[in-house]
Amino acid sequence: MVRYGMVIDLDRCVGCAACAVACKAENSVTSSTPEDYKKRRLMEWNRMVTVFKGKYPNVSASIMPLICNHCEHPPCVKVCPVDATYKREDGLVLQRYERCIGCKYCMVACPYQQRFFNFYEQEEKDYHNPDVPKRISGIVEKCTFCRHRIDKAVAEGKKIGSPDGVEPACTQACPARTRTFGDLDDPDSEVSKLLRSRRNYQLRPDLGTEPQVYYLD
Amino acid sequence: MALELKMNRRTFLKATGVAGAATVGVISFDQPVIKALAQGMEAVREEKWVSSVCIQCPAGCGTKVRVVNGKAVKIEGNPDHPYSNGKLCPKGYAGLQLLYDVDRVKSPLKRTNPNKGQNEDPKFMEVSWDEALNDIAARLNKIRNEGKSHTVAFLSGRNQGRAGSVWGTFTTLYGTPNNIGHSSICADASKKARLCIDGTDDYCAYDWENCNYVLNFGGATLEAWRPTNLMLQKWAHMRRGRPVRAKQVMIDTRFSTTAIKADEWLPVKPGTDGALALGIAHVILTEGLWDRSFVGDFKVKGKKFNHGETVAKEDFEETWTYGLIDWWNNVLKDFGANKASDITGIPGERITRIAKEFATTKPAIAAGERGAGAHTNGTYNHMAIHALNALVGNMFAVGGVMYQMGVPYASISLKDADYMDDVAKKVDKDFKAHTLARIDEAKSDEWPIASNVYQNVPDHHAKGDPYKLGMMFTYYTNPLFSMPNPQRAREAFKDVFIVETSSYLSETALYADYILPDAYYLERRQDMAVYASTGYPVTGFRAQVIQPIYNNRDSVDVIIDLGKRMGGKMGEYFTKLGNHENMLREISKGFEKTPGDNGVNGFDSWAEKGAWYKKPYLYRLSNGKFYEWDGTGYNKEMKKKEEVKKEVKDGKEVETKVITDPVKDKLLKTKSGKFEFRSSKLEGFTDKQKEILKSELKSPELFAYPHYEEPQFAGKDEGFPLHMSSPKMITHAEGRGANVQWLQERFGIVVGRGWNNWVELNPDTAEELGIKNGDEVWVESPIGKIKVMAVINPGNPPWMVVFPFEHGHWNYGRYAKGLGANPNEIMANLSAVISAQSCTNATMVKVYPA
Repeated sequence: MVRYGMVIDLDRCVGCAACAVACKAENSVTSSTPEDYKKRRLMEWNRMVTVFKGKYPNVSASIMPLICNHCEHPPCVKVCPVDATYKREDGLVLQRYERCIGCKYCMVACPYQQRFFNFYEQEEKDYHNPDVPKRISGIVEKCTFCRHRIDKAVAEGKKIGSPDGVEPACTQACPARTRTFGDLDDPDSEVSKLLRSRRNYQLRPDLGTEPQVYYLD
Repeated sequence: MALELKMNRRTFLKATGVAGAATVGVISFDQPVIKALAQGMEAVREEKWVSSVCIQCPAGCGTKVRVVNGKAVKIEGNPDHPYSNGKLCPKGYAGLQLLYDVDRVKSPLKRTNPNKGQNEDPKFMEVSWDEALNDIAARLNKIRNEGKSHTVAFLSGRNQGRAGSVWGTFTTLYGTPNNIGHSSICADASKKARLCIDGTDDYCAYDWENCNYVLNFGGATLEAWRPTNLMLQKWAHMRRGRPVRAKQVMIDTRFSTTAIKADEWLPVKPGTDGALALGIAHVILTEGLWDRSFVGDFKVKGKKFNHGETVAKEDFEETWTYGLIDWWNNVLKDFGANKASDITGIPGERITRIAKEFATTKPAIAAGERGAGAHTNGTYNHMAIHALNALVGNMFAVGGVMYQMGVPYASISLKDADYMDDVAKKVDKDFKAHTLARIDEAKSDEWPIASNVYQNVPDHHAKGDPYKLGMMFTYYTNPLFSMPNPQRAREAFKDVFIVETSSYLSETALYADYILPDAYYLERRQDMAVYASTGYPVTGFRAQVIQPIYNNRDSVDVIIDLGKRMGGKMGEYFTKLGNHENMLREISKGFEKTPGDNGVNGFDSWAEKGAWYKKPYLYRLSNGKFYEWDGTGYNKEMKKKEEVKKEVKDGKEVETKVITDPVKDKLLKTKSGKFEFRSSKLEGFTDKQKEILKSELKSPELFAYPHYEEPQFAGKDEGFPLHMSSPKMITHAEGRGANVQWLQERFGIVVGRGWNNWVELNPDTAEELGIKNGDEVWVESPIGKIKVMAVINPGNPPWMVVFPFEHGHWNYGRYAKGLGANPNEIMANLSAVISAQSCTNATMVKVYPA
């Protein structure tokens, strides 16, 4: 079976947020206004968080990019009352927009805060990607691992996964080649090779969610 | 151009697999194609990818733009451009929101309200291109006929490729010396420092690929240093992309992204980078760690540089450097790690350790940019920093520093000189004879080698010294916003007739009498030789990705059009020149003779692939000898040659001695043909020029040496306690990104703030001042005070106030308008000696709750 996952090497990461911008462009994620931002209505499937330790002069900081972990045991799926959110056979945790009733249970259940609520009907923009659907008001959305790219690659019989196959936009966009995407079940894939490194860890593995996004420290 | 995929409904369905959807279990019903079909929408698309070039910063990264049904829907990096390698920085990906910004200037506009000011509505009315250009040409001719052509100034920023040459020709033929770039508010300090000591007036190119140790003085590698995209790629490569991990040492006054990610951060006191470099140089010499093959050695083996002791000049034989012993005796001998420590605040033993690491971990690079340069002593700081490269012998060496090679364009066959009429000739002659000055006084005795003194234009105009400006064109620059204390420009330029070319309502646009809106970069063609980095030559082709959405025109074509309307010889020149595309076709003929590595050999292939480049870099220093690439390897030694040439002149045979020194001609372009620790460029100033320079220095006797000149700070004497730094974030598209939602949402990645700017304070400083995270505060300097949000950054030193530059626009579209504050408004206008680098890090402030 195919089981898609990602490895993010923080030693390579340069904290530039190219991934975040490329994600918004690729997935036509609604842009915020200053007012939205104040109301914490920012939609970012791919976001950056900086954590400081200590203070000057004994200080360090870690800049982490965060996305949906496409958990093996996704709490968001368990709580969805209408089966809008589901785990696909290839490991992707996805959202059926047309089923979503906007109850936000999944947003509460996600320990990584990687789900976002549409407060408005999305405005049409000339630059929106025609491959992804328009969002209506009152639904929840999230990272899809750029499923439209993966599905197209499957249909066209193209190779999927880093370094030379089809990748999600964030992975392809990263100037530091921080991210590696591929099949965790394939021992020869780049992701599997990287996971043999002892630097690897998952976010809050104690929660039992089994994130499929791994970090290298 | 590029790959074009025309699809009809059938092939599209086939390609996306929807025709066989029943057999593909994983496709669900929110699949957009199925949705489209269900809604009866026509799924037929015309899709193509077009190679082009980004303009969000001056780097010139190649892009691939996805165009679906005539709309640009995605920008990605061009894999066939050596700066992009298929990647971009966040600014590059965000270009689409500027293209489709609803608040763009959509047509030529004419001002109807003669009053100018921050609160004056310009009352713009739409006019036709013909009306605007005819009126401007008539005004230009009137000024010219009155003998005042020199009072017309052209202020420009990103005038890349032919934009630069067209503006240059226009000013030359029109007859004004005032073709003024804004490089002095950019990073001229490092360029001019290099001009003084190694003879090249440019940014360096760096062999990051092979470098093992980086000593970076205030160049924000991961935020603003160009070419950012390539810097990010190389950083990761130096970490994890090769067997040996390079060490990154960041010398910066603040806890920036680069400082966070570096292996080591040295938080120097502001303006003291040069002192640190000198301390390191002292350690390298006293420890005997300099590169002997490049620098030379004592004649008697085993002799040493001892702290505090002079060395006799004749005891040391230099190879590729000049003035080392003078430098040691006058500057370095007493400048040990402890002295450097007193000035910089970095412990002496740490400086010694870093110096030893730097000199022994080869190859190593000492680099830096505006953090070290934007101080009154900035040019000397950069001279000291760059001198380290010579001490460890990495000039033109593997893993060292180089200079970017030029692109072998064919030249434009029309020559400016053939079309200069009497007015143009007289202005040219007077300027060269120093009887006519530039409005910014660049090239005068005060600024003999400065390229521009952009930040002083308002003061000169206000005083009428050397004269008043009659008319000003602005291209990719916003003097009313981007220079220190821009209130000066806002006051002074009220009586100047301004023609602005921005497609966005910038502050300068709001003062404009005409706005001739440029086509956005995805709507026009341009050539783009890259910003220094790879060494080998690269030039991108900015293809027109889509037709202009509104009534905007490529500014290069507009200037050519204006030139035609000027009539006379000038009109003749521009009529013959025709248009921008002709120029691009003409210069690309150079590629027929020198095809690129990707097969680009003319206009069409260049436009299709989006880049021409030719590897390798042609020069190499190895074991103290310079070699040139001969087609197979670095085999041709660059030796000084003396030849006797026999010529027949007037029937007589004349013998002339010809000395060719390829190193001096091509690499170390100083008077001595060597790397100069004692600058013959500065010593070659005229007496008057030297007198003026020395009068500005605290150590005038050291004017020709890389030395530590105590920095001046505005507000220090008045007791303002904190140093203000106004860095650029990676999300800041060079003063032009406040209207980009994708960038604004995550403007402050490190501090986690979006859609605003702020001042960063150290937690102890904030507590002392009674300020909490998110509070509104006043930041006050001798120039004025400004209200902004305070943010605690636990990593910043207690003496720093970090105030990012981007916001404080009065307009610039609905999103930018009224957000945050502009640090320039409380910044004093100081300029570094020699380079005229604007000292954006040299203002001191106090902060208190609002």
